Order: sequence, then structure tokens, then C-alpha cells
Amino acid sequence: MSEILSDLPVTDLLPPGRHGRGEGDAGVIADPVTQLGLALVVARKGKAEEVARAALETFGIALVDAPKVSFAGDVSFVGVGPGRWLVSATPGGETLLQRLADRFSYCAAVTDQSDANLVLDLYGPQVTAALEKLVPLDLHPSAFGPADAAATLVALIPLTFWQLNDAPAYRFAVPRSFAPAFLRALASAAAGYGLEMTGPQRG
Amino acid sequence: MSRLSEGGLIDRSKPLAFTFDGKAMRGYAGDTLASALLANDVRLVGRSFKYHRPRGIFSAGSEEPNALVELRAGARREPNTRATVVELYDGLSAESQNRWPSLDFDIQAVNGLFSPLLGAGFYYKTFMWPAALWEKLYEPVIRRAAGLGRGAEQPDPDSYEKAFAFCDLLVIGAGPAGLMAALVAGRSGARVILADEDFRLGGRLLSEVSEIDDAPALAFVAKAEAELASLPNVRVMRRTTVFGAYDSGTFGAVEKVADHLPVPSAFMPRQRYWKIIAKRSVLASGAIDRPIVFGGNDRPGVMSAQALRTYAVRYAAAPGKRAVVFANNGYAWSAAFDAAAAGVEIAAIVDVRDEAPAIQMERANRRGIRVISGAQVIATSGRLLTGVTVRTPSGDQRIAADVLAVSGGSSPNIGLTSHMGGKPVYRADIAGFVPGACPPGMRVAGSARGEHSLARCLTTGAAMGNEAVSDLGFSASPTPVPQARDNPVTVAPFWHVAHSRGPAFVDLQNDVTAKDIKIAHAEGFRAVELLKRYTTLGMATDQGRTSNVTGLAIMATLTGQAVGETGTTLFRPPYTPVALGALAGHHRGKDFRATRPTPSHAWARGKGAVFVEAGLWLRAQYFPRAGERDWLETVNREVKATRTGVGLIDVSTFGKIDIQGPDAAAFLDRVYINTFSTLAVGRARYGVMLREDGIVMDDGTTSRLGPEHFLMTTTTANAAKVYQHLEFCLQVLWPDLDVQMASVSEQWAQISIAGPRARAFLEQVVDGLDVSNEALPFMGVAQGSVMGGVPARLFRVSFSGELGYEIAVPARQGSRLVEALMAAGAPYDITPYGTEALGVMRIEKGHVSGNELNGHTAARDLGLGRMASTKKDYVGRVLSQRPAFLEADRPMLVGFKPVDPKDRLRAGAHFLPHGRSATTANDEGYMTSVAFSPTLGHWIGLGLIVRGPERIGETVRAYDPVRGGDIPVEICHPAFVDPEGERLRV
Repeated sequence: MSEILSDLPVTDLLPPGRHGRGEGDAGVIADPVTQLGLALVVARKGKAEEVARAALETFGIALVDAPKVSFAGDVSFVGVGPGRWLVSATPGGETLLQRLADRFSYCAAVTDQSDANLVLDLYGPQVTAALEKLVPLDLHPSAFGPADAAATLVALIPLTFWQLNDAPAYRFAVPRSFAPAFLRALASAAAGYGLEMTGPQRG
Repeated sequence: MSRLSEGGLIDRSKPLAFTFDGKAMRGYAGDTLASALLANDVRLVGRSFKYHRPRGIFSAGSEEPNALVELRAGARREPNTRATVVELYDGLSAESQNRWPSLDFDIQAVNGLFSPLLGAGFYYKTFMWPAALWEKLYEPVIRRAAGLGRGAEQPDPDSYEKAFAFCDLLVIGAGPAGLMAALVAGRSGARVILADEDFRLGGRLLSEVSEIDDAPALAFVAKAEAELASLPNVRVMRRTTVFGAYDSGTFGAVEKVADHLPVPSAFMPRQRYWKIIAKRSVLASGAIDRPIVFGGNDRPGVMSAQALRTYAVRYAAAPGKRAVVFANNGYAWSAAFDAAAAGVEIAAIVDVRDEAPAIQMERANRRGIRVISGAQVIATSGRLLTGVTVRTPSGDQRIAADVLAVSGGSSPNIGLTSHMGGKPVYRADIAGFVPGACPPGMRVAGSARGEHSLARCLTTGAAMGNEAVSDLGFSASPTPVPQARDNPVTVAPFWHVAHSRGPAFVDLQNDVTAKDIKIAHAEGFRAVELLKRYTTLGMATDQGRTSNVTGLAIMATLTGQAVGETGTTLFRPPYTPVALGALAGHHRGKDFRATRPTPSHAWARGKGAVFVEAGLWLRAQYFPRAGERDWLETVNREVKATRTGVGLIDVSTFGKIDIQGPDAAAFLDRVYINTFSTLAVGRARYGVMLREDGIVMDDGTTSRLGPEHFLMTTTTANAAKVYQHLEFCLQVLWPDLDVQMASVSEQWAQISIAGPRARAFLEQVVDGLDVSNEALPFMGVAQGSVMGGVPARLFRVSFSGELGYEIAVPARQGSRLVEALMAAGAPYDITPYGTEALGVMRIEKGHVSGNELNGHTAARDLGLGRMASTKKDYVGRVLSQRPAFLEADRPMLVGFKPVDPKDRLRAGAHFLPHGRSATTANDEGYMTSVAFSPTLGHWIGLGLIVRGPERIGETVRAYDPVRGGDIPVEICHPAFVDPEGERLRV
């Protein structure tokens, strides 16, 4: 266990900085991604194909109705259930919610989730070893690769994550009120490798 | 010192200092605590569980029944640690246990004198009357007398963790069979995990003098180890015990990460609990040398024949100077030969068989070892063993010896095969049980399947590894299996020296004797499962691995059945004891489970709030101010301030479910007892939903945000349950409905302001929304923005019974909204309040909450029956009409107040008519919720009482024997404050 956890209030987020093993480079780096719009798109009954068409027309995204990430530019659709996608985009001009509401409402229910999650990118030389202690899924390259996504339970916390690249780096969307508990579990799992928590200004 | 001058897999260049019972000793790297104790001439290591008999080291593995010690000290003290699996480290300290005042002189050894009285069923037969004394006298005394070690009394300073691993093939055991299985599978490219409880790979090859491919077997081990290390698809897990086989190829394992270190290094867990998910598995867990039961077989110095070999060969530690071997099988003879070669004098091999195989006789003769055939050990002598008495065809003889190495044959180590119910099958030719039906995907190789010869271990290991990966589509290249001797198993079934002298122990750890089995037989407890429970045979921490087969074989002899017909008990997980810390991992102390802060948590902390756990949430309970004497004074102030001015509370913890789609209204009509399809856009309605069995599941308000768009709120406690229920309804009950659901609980912070002044300053916070009573009446809903552009939803709802608004903003703005409301409300003395005041106000108002929605109550019981629509169907409708729910005498919700206003009410008190005795038959119901009402100046309560609403004005007894309460209370209307609801509509 990382020694900071005994003093940190359980309701507080892990502060930026180095946690756990201090020597050498950090084995795991955690970047909070703060400026990200998130929304849940749920296809109306039998309209998943129309959602795919709207995704193609609006964002140029070839949507997959599976636990996969489909993306183009800065917009990603993460399959989180049959006919359900967690959509994310970096902000700019029109908000993600507006774009989705305008172009998808005829075929899908759209809800804003921008404030519902702590979004965190995890990477580093020991990220796989650390995630082995958290994620109850097989992250071996033969089983889980870039663009794969999962909705699962980590340290008893329901969350969604997906693989960003084959470095590998992963993006976690953790329900906001569970974020302190998730970061505590992460700090414990990564303590032996050294965890670098970057400041919230990045993303 | 009994350290042999040469040999052994110990590193003599790395001496290690350790203590046992405070006495300084030395061992070497590569020793176990047991081998080091033997090398230091320590032969008495513990006292037995029940009779406190002196005991030594019996085995050299995890099956050890005797040598349990307390390892380490202080907060790290670990009781009942098997010395045979403790890897020696520098500075190790161990204490013997279950003895007082000392190991040499233990007062409770007097129990042994009474052993004729303390046999099977003793407790049940003796401590019968008065039964009331069981809890206070018998059990504590028995527990104190019979015992194991002492646990640590301080919190464990070390950490533990959990991890997940996935593979195509899990190989359990790294002896010859396991190594071959892992090699063959690894070469095929399959993902392989090889786990072994030992700190060295090799299994029996570490203890036996044998050859593979005409070279020492250890060379094969080294080569295999190197090859496995070179394969990126193979993971070798040393010090890892696979303790359980579960559904769908899931295995539980514990890796002793730091148990071989004095203290774990920084950030290193002591142990790691692995959940291994394997598509296939090969169990190569070997076999256990089984004892023979005879009088005096528990004397320190009596050990298994294979343990003698292991200590002599692997650890170069002689368990004694002169050993007698007592056996019925050839494998024990080879153990004797290896021990002799390592430097232990073998005084004699006593074999129960009239004629041992010629080849073994020839080997014994070559080594000059005396063989006594057709003979049995009938007694032992010495406090520590000094001699054995052997009954031979030509008469009894005493042989001086300080070690008696016993072997009744090899019991395949099949625990994991029966974890999912597989029944072991008896094989008479090897006198042992072999696996029956295995868990799906499991194959068994080597000794664990009864293939005891080294050659068969290697070939079955290779074959099972090959079969397993071929199943998965990998092609294992045909490589020749290394050659080794294929010595046949020679064994003559033999269990018990019936005519021996002295107590003959079957289960050494639980002190179960052959006589206990006779008692069980005589009293009818003959089935193996009954035998086990009556005598406690096999119920100790070793799960009877050295005793089960012998015990049931003795029972078979008594019943005249064959051993196979008698059958065996099943092994259950865990295979060896597992520390609770390992199972908990990170989830201990403050991290036992997640703590969810509300969006305004930091703000509330800054205001000095006292917090309370509400499920996983941490909510502000009350906000004490300087000078307030106790929580009640604070809560009274908060309630009064809200009822007369305005109060503020964070209600973000309520579940919030977004429901959309053409059939959303129809869906809500089916899940709520009341109708929502008639609700106008921009309005909210209180709804009640039932479980399928007609019991109330949850309540809350649901708003219509658009023609096909609703927002449901649930209670904090039931947020997840209701969402799950709705998912079930949509996916299973009515998949035809076009409804889309999303949880928005985390997205929205929701702040409630309530009180007659609530509207006075609201305009300052909302962006141009008309919040007048006309524009936004009670149960009205508006959408817009607050604080200059923050999207917001405004709900005119109230739990307190006052004019109230709930304002929802994106969660990250929650704290800002609270501050804005506090600032705008400052001129009106806005008062933050917590869950206590909220609870007081809802009780004053007669609103039901978790105490009433308790899984026992129907809507009618709570006075909500009239809400139920008769024009539609809904979940729970049919069963809510069960006769019992409609009975006139059913307890129904009403209010209660003390007849003497000074009396305090207690939740949980039961209602009795005046003048009737406090019996269940006279019970009329109970108090569900109580509060001190600052508005009324006395305690009030809600409760369920027979025919409640018809009895307003009547008085009954509120009887509370737990806290000594028995007071008269008056039944009243549940709404103590503003029963007409006028304050809500101003």
C-alpha cells in the first residue's frame, strides 16, 4: 500500500505527484483528462443502424456495435452495451451534447455525462502489471488490444475503460463519486512501480 | 548438530540465524524451518490440539499435521504456521504453541490421562445439562483447553493484494509431471502458468536420488526451468499455492510474495491472492506418504518415510541418528536407501508383507540393511522416540532408534479434483483413491492420478499437457519424453496395527484415535461424512490429508465393507489455509469499500459538518456550531431554521435515472403503482413501485421533461437496485417497449432548499427563470440555467414539508451552486442542514423512508394504497392483492406520541394493548422511526400497528425490553406538521 493512503481522506482525490516507489522513472503514469465532453447515446429500439449512419454522416466514424472504440479526429464512440455508446470529444465551438442532440435524437436517446466521470489515461512501462491487480479481464495483446473496450468492475467500482494504443495506454472513465476510491486502489496497485499522478491541467 | 556433512540443496555459504522458543540456532539458505530445526536436533516442536501430547515433525510438506508454530512476533505473529513450509530467513523467530508453561512441561498434558474419557462425542455426551451453560461455561472452557496458536493482537502492518491472471493452461505442481506438461504446452505457443507451492521447482526430484535421461534428475529440473524461463508465453509462479478450483476454469491461488523475508520490502505485499482463469488445467500435485496407525505412532521421532528421505537428501538434515522404516510398499524402501546414502543409519526395514519383492531385497542386502518381513511395529518408547517394539513371526523384539519412518503407501493428492463435487475412486492395485470426475477442463498427471513411477510421471505429464493444448487448437511438436525408471508400484494394503499398545492416532492434528473410530462405529456413525463430523477426523487445518484414507479404511474393516464401497469424504477449498488478509487485499480498513463523497463534500467539511455513512455515500449528518452541547441541539436548530426560514441540503445521492423513448410513459405506468402517462410536461409526481411479490420496493418523484423524456429519482439506498430492476423489466419482461435508460446520478448535483423563505432569494441564482408560485407551482419542473449559464433543472418538490426547490446542475458545479445559494440566502439566515434534520422533518411530515420501506410493507400498509391505479397493470399488482395484504388486522402506518410529553420514544419498541402480557400473541406492531420534534417540543414516532388508522386517539404500550422502556403512547395521524400540505403550495 502506498503510504500516502493512510493520511489522505477517503473522500479526496489522490493529489498530483509521485506516489509509491520514488526511485527511478515512474512505472505507471496517470493523466487526468479534464476537458472532455462525454455523452451516452442509446439507440432507440431497432435503430442501431441509423445511429451508425448518423455517426458516419456527422463525424465520419464507422461505428461498431460491440465493446470497441470507433473514432475519427477527436471524437470517439465506445461501445458499452448493445446499442449503447459512450461518446467523447474534446471541446470546441459546438458542444458535443448539442451536436449529438441535433443529429441523433431521431434515432437515439442522448444524455450528458461530461460531469459523471473522472477520465484518466494510464500508461507507463508497468501499466500492464499494475492493471493485472485491478482489472478482472485478460489484457494480453491476444485478447485485448487498441480499440477494445470493456464495462467492468475494478476494486468493486463499476467503470468503463478502453485501450488507446499499443504502448499500451488505457483510458478509464470512473463514476465521479467513486474517483477517490479508484485512485486509492490504483495507488496501491502501482505503489511498487511508482505512480506519477499528473496535474489536472493536462488533457 | 544433525546437519549432514555434505549434500543437500542448501547453500552452506549463506548461514542464517534464527530462534525457536528463544533459543538461538543456525540454518542455511534453502532450509525450511522444519529442516533447520531437525538439523539443530530439535525434535519436540509442539503440543497436540486436544491432549497436549508432545509432537515432532511428521512430514516435509504442506500436509503437516503436527509441527504448527507461531511465526514472527508482535503485530506480525502468525499462529498455526506449518514449520515444514516456512522458508528459513535470517532473523526468523518461532515459538511453539498450545503449551503452558513450556513446551517441555505442559500442564494440560494431564488431558492425556483423561483421554479414555475424552473420546469421540465426549462433549456432546458430557455437557448436556444444563444446556444454558453451553454459551457461558462449557464452550469457553473447551475452547481454552483445546487450541492452536495465538493470533496477533495488533493490526497487521503488512499489505496484501489481489491480481488476475489468464492462461490457456494452468499446470498445478512443478514436479516431473508438471514440468513436462508445462514444457510441452509452452513449446506449442500456448499461454501457460506453472504454479507450485514450493520455493523451488522439481517436486519429488528435489528429494529423490534418481536419473532422467541417464543424468541426475536435478539436471533435468535445471534444464526445464531454464527453458520455461526462456518462453515468453510461460509464467512460472513459485511459492504459489493453487487452493481452489471453481466454476468456468477459475482457480484461487495465493502467492507468498514476502513470507520468506523478515519483513516485506517497501511497497511489497506480503501475499498476493490470484484469481487465475485457465481454459484448461493439468493437476500434477503428486502424492502424500500415508501413515500406518499403531500404538505410540505420535511420538516425536515418528515421521513419514518420504519426509525422512526429503530431510536427508534435500536438506542434508538427519532427523535422527538411527532410523527404523516401517512400511508396506517399495517406495518407502527406496526412501530408506536414499536416506542411507545421504548418511542416515537405517537400523531395519520392517515390512508387513511376508515377502518383499526380490529386487528390493537384493538392494537392501547390497546396502547391508536389515529387513524384517511379515512384521509390524506394535509399540514405541521414549519421551522422544528411543526405540520401537516389532512383532515378528519369530517373536517381539525391541530395536533402538530415534527415528521411525512410516509409510502405508502413497495417497494421490487429489484435493482439487473434488472441489466441484467429483468423487474419488478407489484403486485397489495402488491402495489409494484416484480422481473421479474432475472439474471441467482439468486433467490429472503423474502421481496425482496414481501413476507413481518417475517414467509414468514424465509421460503422463507430457501427454496431459499435449492433450490440453491440442484441445485448444495448439499443435505440440512431438518431442521425445525423457527416459527414467519405470519401477512398478508394489504395495500391500495395510492400515492399522490392531494389536498394538498405547493410543494409536489416525488424525494427528485433531487427536483422533483408532479407538474413536471404533466408538463411532459402535454408535452408528459409520458413513464417512458422519464419521468425520462425529470424531472430527479430517476436520483440522490439514483437512486430514494424512489421515482420511486410513480412517475410512479402519471403518471399512469394522463394517466389513471394501474401502472403495466405504468411499471418501470430499475435499473442499481451500487446499491449504488462506490468510484472510490475502482475500481482502486492498479492501481493508478505510478501503474496505468505496467511500462516495457528495459534490458539496469539501464545502461541507469546511463548514465543520459531521458526516455519516449512507450506504457507500458519506453525507453531512449535521453542522454543529460553537456552543452547541450535543447533536440534538444542533439538529433542533437546523429544523427550526428550516421551518421558519430556509435550510439547504445536498440531495445528490438520490438515484437519478433518465428514461426516454416513445414508450417511456407506458413503461413508467407498468413499474409504478400510479399513473405517469397522464403527467404533463413540466410536472413531477410522487411514485411508488412494488416488487413482483407486492411489497414496496422504492419511492420517489419522477418528472416529465418532454413528451418522451422522464427523469426518475430513487432513494439513495435503492439507486442501483431500482436501475437493475428497470433493466430487468426492459430486457426480460417487456423487450418490445421502445425505451432508453441511462443513469445520470453521477452527472447531476442536486441541492435542495426548503423553508418559507426559499423563494425569496432563488431569483438571484437562477438565470431569468420565473419561480413564482404561478409559473412554478408545487410539483412543477423547469429547465434553464443558473449562475450565469450553468445548465440547470429546477424541481419544486419537498421532503421536509416546506416550500422547497431542488436545483440540479452538472456535478462539477455542485459546490459552486451551494456557495451561490448560501450567499444569496445569507440575508435570510440560510442554514445548511444534514441527514438528521432531514430525517426529523420527514417524520414530522409523516413521509415514509427506508425504515418503513423495509421489505415487509405493502403500499396499503403505508397508507399509499389509494395511489394504486385500478385501471392498469403494474409490477406487483397481482401479489399485492394477496389475502394477507388485505386483512383488516394488518399493521398499518400511523403516528405516535408519548402520553407524557417528557417520555422518549424508541424505534423498535413493540406495541401492546394495555393490561396484556408481553407475548408474541399480543404484539400489535412496532415503532419504525422516531425523532425529537423541535416543532412540537416532544418525541414523535411513526410505526405500524394493527388497524392503525381506525385507532387514532387510542393509547397503547410501547414496550422496549432491550432498553428497558415501557410507556403509554397515543396513536395519531402520521403527519404531525401541516397535514393539509398548505406550506408546500404557498
